[in-house]
Amino acid sequence: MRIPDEEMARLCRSALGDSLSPEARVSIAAVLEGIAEIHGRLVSRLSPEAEPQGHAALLGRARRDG
Amino acid sequence: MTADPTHLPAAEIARRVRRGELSAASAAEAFLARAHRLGPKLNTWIRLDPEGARRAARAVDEAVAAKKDPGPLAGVPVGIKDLVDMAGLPTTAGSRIDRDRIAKEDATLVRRLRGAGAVILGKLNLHEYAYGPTGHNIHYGDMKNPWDPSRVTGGSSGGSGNAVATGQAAFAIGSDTGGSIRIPASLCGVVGHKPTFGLVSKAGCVPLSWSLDTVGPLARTAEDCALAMSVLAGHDPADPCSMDGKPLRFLEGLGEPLKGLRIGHARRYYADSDPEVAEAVERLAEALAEAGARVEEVEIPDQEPAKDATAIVLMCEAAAYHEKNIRDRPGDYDPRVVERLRPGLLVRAAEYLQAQRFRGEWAARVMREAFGRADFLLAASTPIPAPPIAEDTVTLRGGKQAVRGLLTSLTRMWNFFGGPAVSFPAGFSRGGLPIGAQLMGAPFSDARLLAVLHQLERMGVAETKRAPFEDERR
Repeated sequence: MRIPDEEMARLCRSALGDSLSPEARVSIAAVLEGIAEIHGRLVSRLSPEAEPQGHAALLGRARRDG
Repeated sequence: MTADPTHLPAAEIARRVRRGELSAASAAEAFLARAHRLGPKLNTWIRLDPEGARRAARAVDEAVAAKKDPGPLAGVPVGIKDLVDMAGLPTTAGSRIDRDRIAKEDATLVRRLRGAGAVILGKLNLHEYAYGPTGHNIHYGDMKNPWDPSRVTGGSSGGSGNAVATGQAAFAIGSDTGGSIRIPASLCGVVGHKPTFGLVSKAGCVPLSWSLDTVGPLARTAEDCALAMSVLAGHDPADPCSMDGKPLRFLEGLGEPLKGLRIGHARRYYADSDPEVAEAVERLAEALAEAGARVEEVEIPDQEPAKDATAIVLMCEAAAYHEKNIRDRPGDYDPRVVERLRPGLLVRAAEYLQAQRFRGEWAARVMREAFGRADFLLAASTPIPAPPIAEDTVTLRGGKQAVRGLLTSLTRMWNFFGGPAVSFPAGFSRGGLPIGAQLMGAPFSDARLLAVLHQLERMGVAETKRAPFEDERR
C-alpha cells in the first residue's frame, strides 16, 4: 500500500525532525511499504496463541532441560 | 617446535606458557610487532594497548614463575571488537559519535578473559555500530581482506576477522546480530562461533539489537573457540538476557566421534550460492558421511518469512537504541548507516510485535521439523567469497545482486532462531579466496557443535590457513 507524500512528510517530521530531504523520505516510504507487505504475510501465519515472549520461553526451556 | 608464537593456535600458546616453555611477554611482543606492522595496512585496529598487554603478560609470567595457576588462557594474545568496554579506553563502536566515550569498567567478558590469563592487545575495527556486513568504515578506514586487500573482510567484525587470519591476534572477540562473526570468518578464512543467545554475557557491550545480539570468538581452530567459550560462557546477572543453567563442557567433549551423528544437509537453504561455494559444501557433506555421520537433506521451514521478520526486529531495535543521535546528530554517522537506521523509527508497534510473535512459533517449528531429524544442519556461511570493497553489487548466477543482502542471507535467520552456529574454512575459490561453510545447532548445543568441527579439522577437510598478506611466503 502506497503511503501518500503528505502523510510521509508528517510522519518523518514527527519522528526524525525537519532535516530530511525529499529523496530520503521516498526511500523510507519504500521501506515502510515493504514492511507493511511482510506484516500481512506474517499475520496470516500466526496462531492465536502466539505471543511475543514465545521465543524467550523456548530458549529458557532449552537451557533448563539441558 | 615453532619459534614464532604468531603461528601457534591459542590453545598451544596457553599450553606452552603454562608449562614455562614460552613466556607470555615474548608471545605478546611477537603479536604486537605483527599488529603494528600489518594492522595499519589492513585497518585492523582502532587502538592498540601495548602497555596494557605488557602488564598482563608480566602478571602471567610472574604467576608461572611462582608456580601459581596462570589460568586457562595463560598468555594468549587476544583482540577485542571495539564495541566491548575495556576500563580506561574509549569504546568507539566504530563511530565518530562515541570516539571519546571512555569506559568506566571492563565488560563482563573482558573481566573473564583477564581472569583467565588472556593478554588483551587492543580494540579491533568494525562496521559503524556493527550495523553492516561488509567491514566498510568511513571513520577508521575500510577493513581489508588479507587474501586480497582490494576486497572486503565482511562485517561487522572485520578487524576481528583479518586479525586472526594474519596472526595479529591468537583469537578475537566479535559480536553477531545477523552474521557479524560468521561473515568475516567466512570471507577471511577463519573459524567464527556465534553462541546460543544468552550464553555469553553482553554486559558492557554496545547493543545493536537486544533480542538478536550475541558475542563470541573468531579463532583458528574449533579447539581455540572451545577454549575461549569455556571462559566466556556462563550466567551474568548484569545481562538481562543471560541464561542460567548447567555449565557446558566445551573442552571435555572435543574428541567425540562423528559416527552416528545426524547431519541435516540444508541444501536448498544455500542453493542460490556461487557454484564454487555450493561444491565446497557438497564435499563436506560427503566427508561427513564417509566419517560415519548420517547425512540427509533437511528443510528449514518458512525461510523467507523468517528472514523478513528478522529484518523488522533488527531495524526497530537498532533505531530505538540510536533514536536520539539519529535525530540530533545524523551527520555524524556514515550516511549509509543512518539511512538504514531511520526507517526503524517509523515502523508500527504492531508490525514489530507480530514479528516477535512469529519468532516463537517459527523457532518451535525449526526445533520440531529440522532438529527432530538432525543434530546439526550444514550449509554455506556466505553465498559468495569476498567481494570488492568498491562494489555494492555483484553478479551471481547471471543476475546482479546487492552485496549487503547477499552477505547476510545465510546467517541472519539464525540470530532470529537463537541457536549456535559456526562458520569455518571449507577451501578456496579458483581465485584464491576463502569459502566458508556453516554448521548450525539447536539452542545450547554449542559444545557439541565445536566438537563436530574439531573432528572435521582432524580429517583435514576444514583447515584455517594463515593469510599470506605480506608474509615471508609471499
